Order: sequence, then structure tokens, then C-alpha cells
Amino acid sequence: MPKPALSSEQLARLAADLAELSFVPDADDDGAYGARCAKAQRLLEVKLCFEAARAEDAPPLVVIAGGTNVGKSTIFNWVVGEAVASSSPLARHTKAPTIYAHEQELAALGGGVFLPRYARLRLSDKEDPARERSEGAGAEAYFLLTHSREEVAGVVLVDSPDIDSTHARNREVAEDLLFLADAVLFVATPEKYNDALCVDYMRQAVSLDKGLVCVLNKGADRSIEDDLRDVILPGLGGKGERGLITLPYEPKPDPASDKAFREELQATVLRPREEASSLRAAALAGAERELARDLEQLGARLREELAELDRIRSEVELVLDAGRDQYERFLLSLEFYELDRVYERVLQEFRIPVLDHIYDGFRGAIGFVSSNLGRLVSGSAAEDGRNAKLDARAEKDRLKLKELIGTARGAVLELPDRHTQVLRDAAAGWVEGLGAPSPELLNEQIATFSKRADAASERWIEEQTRIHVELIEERPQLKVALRTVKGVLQIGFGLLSAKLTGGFGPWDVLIGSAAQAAVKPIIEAAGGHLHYQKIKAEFVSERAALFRELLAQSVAEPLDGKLPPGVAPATLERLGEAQSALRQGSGA
Amino acid sequence: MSPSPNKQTRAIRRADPTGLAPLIERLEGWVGRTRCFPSLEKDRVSLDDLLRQIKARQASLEQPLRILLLGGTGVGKSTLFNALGGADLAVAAPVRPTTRELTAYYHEDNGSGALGALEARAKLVPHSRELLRDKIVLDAPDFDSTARENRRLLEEALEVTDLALCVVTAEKYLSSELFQLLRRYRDGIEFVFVLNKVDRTQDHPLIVNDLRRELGEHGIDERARILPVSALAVRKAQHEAIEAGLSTLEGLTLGEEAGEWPALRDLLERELDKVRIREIKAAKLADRVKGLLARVEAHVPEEVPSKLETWRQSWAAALKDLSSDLSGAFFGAIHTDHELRAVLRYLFGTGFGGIFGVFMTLIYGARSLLMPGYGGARSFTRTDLERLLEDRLRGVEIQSVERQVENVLERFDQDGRSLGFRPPPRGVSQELGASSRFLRASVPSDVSELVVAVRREASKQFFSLVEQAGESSGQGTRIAWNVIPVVVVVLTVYAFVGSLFPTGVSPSAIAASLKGTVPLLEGALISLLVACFAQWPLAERVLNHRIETSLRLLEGVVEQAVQESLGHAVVQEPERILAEILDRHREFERLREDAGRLLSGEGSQRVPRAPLNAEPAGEERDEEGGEDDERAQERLRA
Repeated sequence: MPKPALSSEQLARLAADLAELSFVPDADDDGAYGARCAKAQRLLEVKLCFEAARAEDAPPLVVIAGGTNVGKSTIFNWVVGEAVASSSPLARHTKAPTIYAHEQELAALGGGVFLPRYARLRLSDKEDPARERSEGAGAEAYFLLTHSREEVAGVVLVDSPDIDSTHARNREVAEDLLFLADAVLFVATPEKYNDALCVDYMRQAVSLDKGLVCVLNKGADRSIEDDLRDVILPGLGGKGERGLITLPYEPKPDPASDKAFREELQATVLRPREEASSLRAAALAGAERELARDLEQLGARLREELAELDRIRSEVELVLDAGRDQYERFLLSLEFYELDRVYERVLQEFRIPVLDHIYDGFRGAIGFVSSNLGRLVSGSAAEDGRNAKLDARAEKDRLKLKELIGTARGAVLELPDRHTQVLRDAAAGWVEGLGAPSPELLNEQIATFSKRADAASERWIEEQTRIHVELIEERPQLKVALRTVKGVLQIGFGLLSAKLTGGFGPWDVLIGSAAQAAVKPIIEAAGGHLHYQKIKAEFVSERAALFRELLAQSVAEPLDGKLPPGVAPATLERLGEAQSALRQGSGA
Repeated sequence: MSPSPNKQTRAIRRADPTGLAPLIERLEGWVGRTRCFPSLEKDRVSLDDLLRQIKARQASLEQPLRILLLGGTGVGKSTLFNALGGADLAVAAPVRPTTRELTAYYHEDNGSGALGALEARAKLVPHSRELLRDKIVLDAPDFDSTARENRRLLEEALEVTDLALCVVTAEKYLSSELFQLLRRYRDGIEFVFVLNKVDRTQDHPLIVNDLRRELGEHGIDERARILPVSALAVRKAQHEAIEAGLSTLEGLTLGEEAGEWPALRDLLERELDKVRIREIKAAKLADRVKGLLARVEAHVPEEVPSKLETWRQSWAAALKDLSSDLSGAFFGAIHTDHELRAVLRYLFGTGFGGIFGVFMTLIYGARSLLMPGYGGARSFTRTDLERLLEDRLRGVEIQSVERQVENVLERFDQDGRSLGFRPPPRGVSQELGASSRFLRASVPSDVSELVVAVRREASKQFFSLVEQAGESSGQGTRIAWNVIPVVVVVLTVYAFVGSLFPTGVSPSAIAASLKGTVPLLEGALISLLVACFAQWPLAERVLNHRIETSLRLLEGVVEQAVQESLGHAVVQEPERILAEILDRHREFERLREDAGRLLSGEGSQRVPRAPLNAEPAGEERDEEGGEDDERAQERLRA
């Protein structure tokens, strides 16, 4: 007897994994893969788990299947020799399948639990159609009918519902039974033998390596038999023999009738008794191979999905990086006032004791007078030129930020157009739902960002001032030179200023800037031009990193919230392992 | 066949017994032009198909009734067909599937032109039976066998079918594929069911009931006629009759096993007379129009006007933001510029006339010598100012503005899409890739034009603005500024002249009193200076005010220029799109109203419903009567 490729723990694990699998909704084929997933799950539960619970010497299962009203139940009754399954002229009469097993063999069949998730109805008394209607109508259910008749022992017979009626549930039950079966007795009629659904069913049975016997019920002429034997049955693919029996048309089927064809039928149906183990082995291997194939396709699709989600995420990251780079370039093209402020503070650190006091007093007086005079003269406080420049720069910065955020959003919106893979539709849906923030919200975000960035540059200025002061403190001669230049400049320009204007006019600004202009090269010389380029680059990249955060908050986060997580890699790995184990087990 | 569409339309109008032609035309026009609803667009192919079918059916209203034998493989369609024809017209054999082609059984006078394009692919069997004059019976292949190409042929045939004889058997009456087809075609085709092979079952009443129940579950008229027959038995009887030398069609004696064959024959030969045929065709046409309307209705989103309002508001907000950003960008470049301010100050400062003007000119001359920024102001001309302004405005990059404009348009697109609208595809002249956007293409060139226009406009108007601001004071204020200096001068002159008179006018006296005038002139000069210095702060204040005014005026000019130049693609195009979508929606509402009136209201007498029910339509008539009463009451209320 064959050993299943997977242990029962592995089966349970696999079943749990399959139950948790989900495909990205709205992807172009998620429905198909959802169905495939459900099918793999059913195949696993119905066949592999059942096989794991079935004893080695348990009898094989023979499923009697066919289209609506071809006479499945009638044939079932003929085989067992009594009216067990109820047959009727109305189509899709058989709703719940009947499983007919010998009572002593039940223990070997996993305790008689055949179809998980189905309700088991014990029908000891076959004359109970009311019960069938009341209990069998709701959830999926099957009847377990035990008998003690030795002549039909050694094989479990299952009467399947039809495969082609308008009731989709019947078809699902029929498929479950096909998974469960070791051998299939397919009932065709002259009317239905070449229906697409019927032929597809037989093809599936063959691909699952079930033993297949075709019964042509209700009589037929030679041409049909030949067509079936020579064209259709060989056309199913696969290998192995397929039996064909023809039964004559019976206007009033009677299970007790003593006809010659009945014995042939019975013999054929009961033949699996002799070749039970090989039948079971083939069916198991077929199921395992099918499951492996399903797992392979599911895994491939899930991997594809995962890869695409990753790609979307990484492309969003790329968009953010591009935005940051653009902003960085923009900042580098702006004037670097922050460094001037560092110089200013550094200069303030190196006071020339007496001179600075005099100068400060002098400057204070002039400042007081000139600002009051200026206010009087011009009607408003004189505007600080540098502040105006800073304002202008801030405005330019704000507009640039807005523009870059808009550009980044546009780039994200175009992402789905660049995807031609399975997630294209879904990606379009996520992106469409993004929704641009209102101008007010955007302005507010940018204002918040500006505040943060300004605080950060203030910190940066302090930090740099400290570093510079320390640097100059380390070199006494530089400090002395700095003080000397500053003193000379301040005295010289102060004298000149007094001489020319008698203290009128904003000369202090000129003195300040001249002193700065002279001292700046000294400080720069202390660090070197490249050093300041580096400092600027550092400052800019820090601000750009802040901007990237803003961009992420404004553009990437809304999309990120919509992206599904995709399959867990661990699950994917387990599916892969199960697949290779199944593949080895089925000998493919 | 039809020389020109116009002629065809006229022909349809002439033969428009249903009164549906204008409605169909409007519906077609609407579907053809409406391209803003995404789900409608997704379904466009099948909608166009439906429209085409409806038009074809409309054109065939006066043509013979096309009856198709519909059924799975092996149910006996061909046998039934042969039985209807009374001869072996189509091949009936046990091997499945037998029939792979269409066979048309038609009256030789009418021809088979009603089949349209299918005519060429069908086997044609003409007959001369007067009772079947206005009908074409089609034997079709199956839909459920492994021969999939059969199904395609069948579907093509169903497109031109008015009435389907659905042939089922005890084995196949619940076939899921049959019910798929029934559901799909229930709007356009009248169904009559034929339960064949009743000779092989005893319980056909049970099956008929079961089938009826199933039809109800699938939303198909439960009252459809179901006729149990055995075509094979009929054929046998016909063969026997031929062997006996009888006419096969008349006076045939049929056994019990042939079922309700006479009823079927009666239905086809007598019941389906000219009036009935027209009724069926009209009813099915109305059903199809109704179906199409329902389909379209499902695709037209709810609350279009309010959504459009949301869209418009968000667009207006974005546009306002953009225009303030843009003028901010342009104006910011001017506003913070010190050189410009200094130049303006100089120009205004030296613009005072009279004595005070001389004083201010002296002051500003001195200032321009000493203070930075005033340097070039003395020799400043109009062209200099224009150049300066243009230079400042050039700081606003075209690319940056372009991107801002593009972002706003993108936003418009996105708002539209997130509200469930779809951009209409562009005309043929546009690039193909642009079809997923509402607006595109012309924007970049417009933007560079915009920037240039703003620059040109602003600099052109600036000088006149400056002059205007300078002159806004006018002659009056110019005099006012000089009142005090002039008074001082007049007083001095008066004192000077007055000092002359007490001593007479003799030259010696003048000479004597002139001695005392030197301190008087000194005093006058000092008081003149004091007056001017006293006026100076006030003048500065006024200058400042003028600068602010002129800059504000400039801001206005820039804003106006921006708004004007935002132009076609940025302002008009979105407005046009919004208006167009609203228009489309309104048109649809009107269309729906009219259609509702036509299809369920006054039209109901002309367009009878379900003419081939099993039961007499008395019940239905009662209902209709009830409806009529209701309508009458409504009218009264109105």
C-alpha cells in the first residue's frame, strides 16, 4: 500500500496555510486563483487527509457519476441489487450523495468520516425521503448507508449528484466525490455522451489517475459505441484502460430485475476489490501530483504578486528619492545665508574688550538715532535687507516644495501605467483612491515642514558656531590675527564713518559687512574652501532628508496604507516544500 | 442594401409601428458621445453590440419571424425540424454532435434575406407552404458539446432570432448552459419550450412543472409555453404516411406518444399570424431597448451633479492656490528687491516740482552720491526700469511654473477619476498615450507663453504705473507741497517791498533800505530751509506710500496677467469638461424620463408584453387596467 508523501502534521499545516492564502483583490485573475486555491484545499482535505486516516486494507471507493437524469441512481440500485438510492424521472434528483459501505469495513475507512465539512446523515432506513429533504437541503451533507451484504462487500459505492445541472452546488459536490474516489463509474447516455461538461469530467478523472469505466446507459446503436470507444475515451489523454459497458434502454428500471447486463455491470463495478491497492496507489499519486501542480501555480502567482508589491514599494521609494535629489539640487543653487550667520556668531565670540564696548555703545547710539530718524523719515522701520532676502528665499523654497510634492504625486499616479503585470488593475484602483490633499492642507504641511526645517537649521548654526569657535581656539595665532583685523577694520571704518557723516547714515551695516567680508576669508582659510562646500552639502542633505519625510507623509503613506501585505514569505516557503514533497511522493 | 444612412433612417421612420425609433436614435447618440463614465466605457463593446442588434431588429420589424431551434446536443432539434418540414431537411443521427451548420426553412416568396449576414452560411431550404409564409425556421447546432465552434455559430444565429423553440428532454431540461443562454437572451427573444422525447418518459407533467419552477428561479417568464412532443414519433408517422402515399402534412393520424404536436403545429401555422408576429417583434424590441436602458442606467453613477460640484470646488480652490502662488512667485521677485525700491524712491523723490522739488532733488542728489543703491538712479530711464523689472522676473523659472501648472492639472484629473469619472479619449490628432487624462498636450507651450506674457505685461505697464502713482498727486498736491516755501518767499518779497515804501521811492531811499534787506534775505533763506526740512519727513512718508501703491498696482497687474495667461488649457478646458459631463448627465436624465414614459406609459397599448404566454393574458390585462387607473388618478391629482 502506498505511503502518502506528507505526514498528517504536514497535511494539517498545509491545510491551514491554504486556508489563509488570499490574493490581491481586483487583480486581473484573482477569481481564477481564488478558485484554484479553494480546489487545492478541497483536494487536500477530501483526498489526502482521508487517505492518511484510511487503513491499508480498507476497500476502494467507487463513485458513480454522470449528467442529470442519465440514471446514476438506477445503476447504483442495480449494482447493489436493491433500491437504496432513490431514483426519479425528475432531474437532479440526487442532492446529497449516498455512500454505501459494509458495516465491518467502516472502521478501516477512518471511522466512516468521508467528507470533512459535510454533515453526515445516517440513513439506516432507506425509506425516509422526508428526512432527506429536511436535513439534506441545507448545508452540504451525505448519507452513510451501512449494510451487511457480503456480495457487495470489499468496495464502497458512492452515488454522486449530477455534474451538469443549473445547481452549482451539485457540481461542487460531484467534484469533491471525484477527488475522493479511487475509481469512477461514469454514466453516459446517447444524448449526453459528447457533452463538453461530461467529457471534461472524465478528463479530470483521468488526469487524477482514477480507474475509469464508462457506462453507456439507455441503449445505443453501434455508431455511438464506436465513437465513444474509439474517439472520445482515447481522447481523454493519460494512460490505462477504460472499460465500456452498454446497457439497454429500460422503460421501467427495476433493481430486482434479473437481467444479464446487471451481472456484467456488477462484476465491473466490484472489480476494484481485486486490484484495490494498485487503484488506491494510483489515485493517491494522481491526487498528489494534481495538488503539487496546483501548489506550483499558486506559489508562482503568489511570488509574482509579492514581487510586484515589492516593486511598487521600491518604485515609490525611487520617486521619493528623486524628489529629495531635486530638492537638494535646488537648495545647493540657493545662497547659503546660514553660513554667514555662523560667521557672524563666530565673530561675536571674539570680542576685543575695550574697543568692542566702545564700538557697541557707539553703534547702539547710532542705531537708536538712525532707526528713530528712519522711522520718522520713511514712515516705517527700515526694512532689514537680509530679512527681506531670507523671506524671498523662504517663499521660493515654499513654492519649490509644493511643486516637488505635486511632481512626486504625479509620478506615483503613473506607476500603474508602467505595470503590465497581474496587479495592473488593482494598482490603478489603489492609486485612484489616493486623492490629492486640499491646497490648504498642503500649505499647512509645508508650513509645518518649514518650521521644523528652520528649527533644524538653527540647531545646525549653533553646532557649527561651536565647532568653529573650538577650531579657532585651538590656533592662537589665528585668533590673534582675527582680532587684529577686526579691530583695525572697526576702528578704521568707525573713524571714516564719523568723519564723513558725523554719525549719520547706516554705516554700521557697512562696517559689519566689511569686517565680515574681511574676516570670512580668514575663517575660510582656516577650514578651506572644500570644507565649506562639504558643510553646505551636509546642511543641504539634512534638510533634504527632512523633505523626504514630508514627501513620504504626503505621497507614500496614503498609498502604503492601501497596499495589501501579500503572502508571508514563510508560508510561501512551506508551500514550496510541500510541493516538492508531493512531487517526489507521486513519483513525477 | 441601404444606399445612405439618411435614407435608411427615413425608411425606419416610415415603418415605425412601435414609435421607438426616435428614442433609439437618441439613445444611440447619447451612448456614442458619452465617454466620461468608466463603467460605461468598460462595457462599451457590448453596449455598442446591443445597439447594433436593436437597430438591426428595428430594421427587421416587417420581415418574417425568425424561429430558431435551440437546444443541447442530442435533444432532437434536427428531428423536430424535419418533422416541421415533413421531410429529411437536416441530418438527424445518433452520433453527437450531428448538426454543425444552420439550415433555414423559409417561404420561397419571402426569401431568406431576413437572416442578414448569416444567409450566406446557412443551408437554404425554400418551401411554398402558405401557413408558414411569414416565418423562417432555423435548425441550429448545439451549445454544449465538445465542438466549441458550434456555439459560436449558434450565438451568431441567436442575434437574429425573434423566437426560440427551446428543445429540451428529460435529461437536458436543467442544463446549466441552456439556462446561461436563456438568461442572456431573455430580453430579446421570445421563448417557447418543447419537451421532446416524451415517448420515453411517463412523467412529463412532472418535468413540465419542474422546468417551470426552474424558469421562475432564473427570472424567465414562468408562463412561457411548454409543449411536450415526440418528434421521432411524428417522423415515424410521417414516414408511414409517405409509404402509404398520403400527403405528409395534412390529415396525419398521430398516436398518444406524439404528445402535443398538433398544438405546436397550430402555434407555428395559425397562432403566429401577421399581427402576432408584429406584436412579438415590437414587444421584443421594446424589451431590448428597456434592457439596454437598464444597462446604461447601471453604468451612470449616482449623484453626478453633486459630485461635479465637489470637483468644481476642489478645482477652484486649486486654481486659486496656483494663481496666488504664481503671482507670489512673480511678485516676490520684485517685492524684496532693494535696488528697485531705491530707484523708485529716487524717481519719486525728485518728482516734486517747484521750490520743494529743487530741495528734494538736492537731498536725493546728495543721497545718491553717498548711499548704496541710489547710484544708478540719477540717470535712470524708462527702458532701464523695464530691463530691471524683466531681469527680476526672469528669476521665476519657466520650468518651475510649468511643473506647478502641470501639477494642478494632474490634480484636476485625479479629482475627476477619484470621483468616478473618466477622461474622454482625445481626438485623432492627439497622441495616443494621452487618453487617460482629461487635460494634456498644449500645457507646456502655454506656460512659457504665460511667463513671457506676464513679464512683458508687467514691465510694459510698470513705467506708466509709476508715472500714474507719481502723478496721482497731480497739480494740486504739487502746489500744496510748495505752499509754505512760496508763502515764505512771498512774505519776504512783501517785507522787502514794504520796507521800500515808508521812505518813498527815490533811488537813494531804495539804496538805503536795501542795506537792511541782507539780514532779511538771510532770514528768508533760513526759514525757507526750515520749511523744507519740516516738510521732508512728511514727503518721505508720502514717497513710501507711493512706492507701496505702485508696487500694489504692479501686483495687481501681475496677478491679472497671470490669470489672463493661465488661459485656455488651465482655466477654460476644465470648465468645459465639467460642463460637458453635466450636460451628458442631464441629457441622460431626460432620455430616461422620456423612455420611461414611452415604454411603460402610453406605449403600453402599442407595445404588448409577452404575447406567447401559456395562459390567456387576462390577469395581465387586469394589472394593466389597474395601472391605467393609477395613472388616471395621478393625472387627476396633478
